[in-house]
Amino acid sequence: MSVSPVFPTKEDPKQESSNTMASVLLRWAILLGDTFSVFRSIPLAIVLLSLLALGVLIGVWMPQEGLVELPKIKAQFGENYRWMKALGLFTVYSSYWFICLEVLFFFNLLFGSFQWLRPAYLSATQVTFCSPEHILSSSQQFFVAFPLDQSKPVETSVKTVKNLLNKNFHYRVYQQENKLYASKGNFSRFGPVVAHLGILLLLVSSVYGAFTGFKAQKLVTPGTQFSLNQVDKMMPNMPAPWWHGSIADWRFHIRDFKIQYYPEHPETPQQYYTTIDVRDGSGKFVKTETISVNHPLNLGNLTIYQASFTPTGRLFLKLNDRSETVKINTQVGSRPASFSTLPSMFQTAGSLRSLIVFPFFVQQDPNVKANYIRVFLHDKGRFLGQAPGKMPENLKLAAGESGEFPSMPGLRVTYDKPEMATGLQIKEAPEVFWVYLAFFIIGTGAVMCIFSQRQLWVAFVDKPDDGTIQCLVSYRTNKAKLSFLKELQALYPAMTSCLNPSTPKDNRRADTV
Amino acid sequence: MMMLMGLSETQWVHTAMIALIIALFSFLVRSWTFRNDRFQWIPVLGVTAIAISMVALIISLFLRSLAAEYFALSNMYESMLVLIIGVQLGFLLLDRWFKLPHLGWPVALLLIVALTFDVSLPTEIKPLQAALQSYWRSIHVPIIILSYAMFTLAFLSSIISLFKLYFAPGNASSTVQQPIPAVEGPNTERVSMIQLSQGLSSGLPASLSGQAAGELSEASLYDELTYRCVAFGFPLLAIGIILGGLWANEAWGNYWSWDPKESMSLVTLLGYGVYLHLRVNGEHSPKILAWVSVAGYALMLITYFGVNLMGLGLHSYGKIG
Repeated sequence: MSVSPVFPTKEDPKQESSNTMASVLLRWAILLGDTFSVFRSIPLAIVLLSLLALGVLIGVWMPQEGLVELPKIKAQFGENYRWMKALGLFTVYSSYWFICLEVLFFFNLLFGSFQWLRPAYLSATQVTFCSPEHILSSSQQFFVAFPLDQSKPVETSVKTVKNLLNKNFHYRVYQQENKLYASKGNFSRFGPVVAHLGILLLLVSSVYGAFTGFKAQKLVTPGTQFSLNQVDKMMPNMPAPWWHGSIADWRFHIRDFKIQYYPEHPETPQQYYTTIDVRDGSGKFVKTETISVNHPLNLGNLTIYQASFTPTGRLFLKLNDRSETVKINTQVGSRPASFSTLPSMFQTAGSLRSLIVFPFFVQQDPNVKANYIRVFLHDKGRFLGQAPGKMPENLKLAAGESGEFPSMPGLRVTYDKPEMATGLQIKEAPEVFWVYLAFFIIGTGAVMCIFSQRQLWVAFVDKPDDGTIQCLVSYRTNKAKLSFLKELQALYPAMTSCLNPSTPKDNRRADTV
Repeated sequence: MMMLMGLSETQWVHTAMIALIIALFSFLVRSWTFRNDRFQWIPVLGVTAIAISMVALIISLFLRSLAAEYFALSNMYESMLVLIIGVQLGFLLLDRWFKLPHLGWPVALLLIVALTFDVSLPTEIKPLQAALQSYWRSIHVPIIILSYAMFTLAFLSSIISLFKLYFAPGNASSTVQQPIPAVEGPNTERVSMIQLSQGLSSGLPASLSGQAAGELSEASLYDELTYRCVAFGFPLLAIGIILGGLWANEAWGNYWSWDPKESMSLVTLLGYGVYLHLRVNGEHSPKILAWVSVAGYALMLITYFGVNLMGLGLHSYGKIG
């Protein structure tokens, strides 16, 4: 798209002759104008879109810090790590060059959008009429000739074409004497501008969110009470000197949480629920809400999500009827385990019997299909019930199951359940309303872009030499040329038919596009 | 097992495959004989076969949804079924509007390959993960898949356009006759648009008739078709990504996480954004535009298959295998 100069050119003699303040300002204005014209150019937009795509592509395929552990990245790239790190290849989305691209993209959108706004507005709102000469000089024109009828003024034919365009082809038609201007889909001219303004709002609101929002995490068990100041991990979106957010004074009490499993697939969790009591800063009860995945708790800009569900490391067992709580407190090989000495009633003279419990959790091990524990008996450095080449005697118990060791009759071990903690993600996002508004604007603009603007200019001219009148039509569309041409193919016979009443009516609307 | 008209979900897929094979052969014959009026019934057969195949796949998906007790669009197999249906639907609409002589057989061939690959994927119905239990799944995923369907048609159209431009440059400017209604000329003689363009007593210029409308340059036709498909797919992808952002904010607490799948979908969007801006700029040849469209499709394939093959990120439930 060509850009008309906004500022006077440098060759303007007035600039050369003057050394006043106004002249200096004018020079700056020219410089700014030149700069803006670069910023708003479509070729720059193409380059920026390509580079941004390349940047994101690098971010997808290169391991990114925060997602992959640093030692692993170093091991993978060896000596190349340093220069790749310096280029920001492991932190693409926060690297200086990516942010520079985003800033350039922002300005390109900003200036580009305003550049397109005026032509789009003019094209959509201006009603222009063309003289027959003007239409004939256009490369996109056709005409329909019909016999001159002295009894019927040309105004009747103009009205006929006007009605045809309006009623059969859904154009908005304006008339000036024997000339018509018809258009439809004018709103689509604003589509790109609307979509671009939406992207601008999205970028601005995201930056606002970066300076004011935070994320926090809290691992909680039923009965836990906490306020936002007591979360396990607080992550403002920006480093402290730049962060301008605030932490609201809400207090929470975790009443309960549970996993619901599919009845026909008992090993597959269907949903995770956490019930939370909410109180304000003064301790006044606000509400109780049960959250689950896809159903967070909303408190203004603060949202609490059901993020994870993990074992705390405490297991509830029963040894015969005696309740015991064991804690994962050691490792055997690389596997976490609980090592606890059995109460005296299960000991014999000289023995030091212990229970070793290995938990297997789907939440922690992708190879595990369902949660269970393996329980071993241990006495003075050796497993009981050990046979050469075989795993020592053990019990594999799912929650609620019991078992007895053959080598130790009288001891019935029941695995009640593991203690589970719910992982809550807490997010303060003051920008969310603006982001959603931006989404709506972008979506609206995108839909508007699908449609095309179609314009027709009609003029009637007498041809007394051959006793006809010519209805001249010039046409233009900004996109969807194929559909438009097909519409013109239907319009042509329809116009011919209307203007030549003797022709059959069945061709008036020969095709619908 | 859920059945309809005595056929199971799998048998409906097989029916769709048979219909696609019939469509392929019909369109191949059409491609060779499109200038011959005696074979006008062949494209009708091809289009009908595509329509039957689409209905069969819709029934299969419906039966699967009944069996699963949720809208069956939760894994690669199901999403590819929807993609194939989307391509079929898009093709049927385009064919109705533009009567494309050479697009039919590449579409049918690609769909046969896609369906063959799809049935090789695990088809077991699994219970939905908690994150997928949302109404957003029924909104976000189909829109994205529909945009992929449009990009698939754009890709095929670009390939045909490139073929015409590189390997048959003489034929690239040859014309494709469109179905043109007979019109009444001013002298009430019934003439066709093609005749009108040849200087009969009409005011229709060459740009409206002849090569531009009645008969379109093949390369231009497919170039324009690519543009329409991208122009329709691009907003769909943008809206799909936005809806995904809304869902992600509800499920994960982030409307954007730079997850590989969403990042790649952004790359695809940017790629097609480049195509559209090149088009608006109007200073680039049809060859460059077609190549950019092909590149955009490559990015889309990486987004759709590549990230899933890796099974990375928050979209890992879409992984293959």
